[in-house]
Amino acid sequence: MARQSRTTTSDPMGRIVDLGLPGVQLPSPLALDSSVLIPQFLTAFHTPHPRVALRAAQLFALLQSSGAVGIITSTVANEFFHFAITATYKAEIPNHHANLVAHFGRRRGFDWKDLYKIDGTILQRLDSDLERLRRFVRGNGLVFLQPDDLMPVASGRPLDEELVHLVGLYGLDTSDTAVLVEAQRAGVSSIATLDQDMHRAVADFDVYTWL
Amino acid sequence: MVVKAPTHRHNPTLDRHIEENRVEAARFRAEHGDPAEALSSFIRETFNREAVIEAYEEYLNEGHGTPEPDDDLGPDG
Repeated sequence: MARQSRTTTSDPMGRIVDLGLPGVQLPSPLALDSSVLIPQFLTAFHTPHPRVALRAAQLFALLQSSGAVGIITSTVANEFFHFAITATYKAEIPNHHANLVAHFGRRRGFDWKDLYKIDGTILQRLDSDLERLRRFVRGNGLVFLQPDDLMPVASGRPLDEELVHLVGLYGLDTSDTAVLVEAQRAGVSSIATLDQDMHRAVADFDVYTWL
Repeated sequence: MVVKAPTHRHNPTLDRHIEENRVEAARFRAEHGDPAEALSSFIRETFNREAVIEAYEEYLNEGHGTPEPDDDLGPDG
């Protein structure tokens, strides 16, 4: 297989597809980067939408109308739920000011991580909302990858070696690379992203984005 | 430049999960209507707008996504 001997991105296997062009058809399945999933939170609140939210909404609409299936890797799932947790803790900071001062002393401001360090009950109360969020995402036809969806690494390298190898090949950080490794192991060779860095995945993927 | 197709690997297990999810999504649509609007409505009911915007700015600052230069994420954006 070609990928086993690849050491350069100068001869890409994939292509970059501009979702801003009319008539673009989505492949199925299509991996979703967190950069297209998380702006759904913005879509819910903004009228008119900032461009990033508008594009994410357009992608969702395109998935629905075309019947293409969006795939969520475990790395993207982590980032998505982490975002929900971050937003929840940020919203709670004003309600816990006295407790925060008692633990950390007086400061100009507190970070959500300060509150997270001293109060896990907020997350325990959020549990049912996270479960609903998970079901609403699945209800949109998006599929969370399961462990048994992952096939062996195609190159035959151990997973840790493959991760480090692809970080070097793509020039991407580990979390971005981990998304791509998981997608590859699921047999998915297309990804939708609003993250310019991820265009470098074109070495092995068709990258659907807005140019 | 000659564009080669990325390597596709057939994955029957994923195909089965996709089909199972398709049934679940159809059930969800019958119960909730437009699933995208249902998701948006749930987010509006559950999360705080300003906190979501702050969290998104933090997400961008951590190197995820690409900020749009003319995007105003503020409350009136």
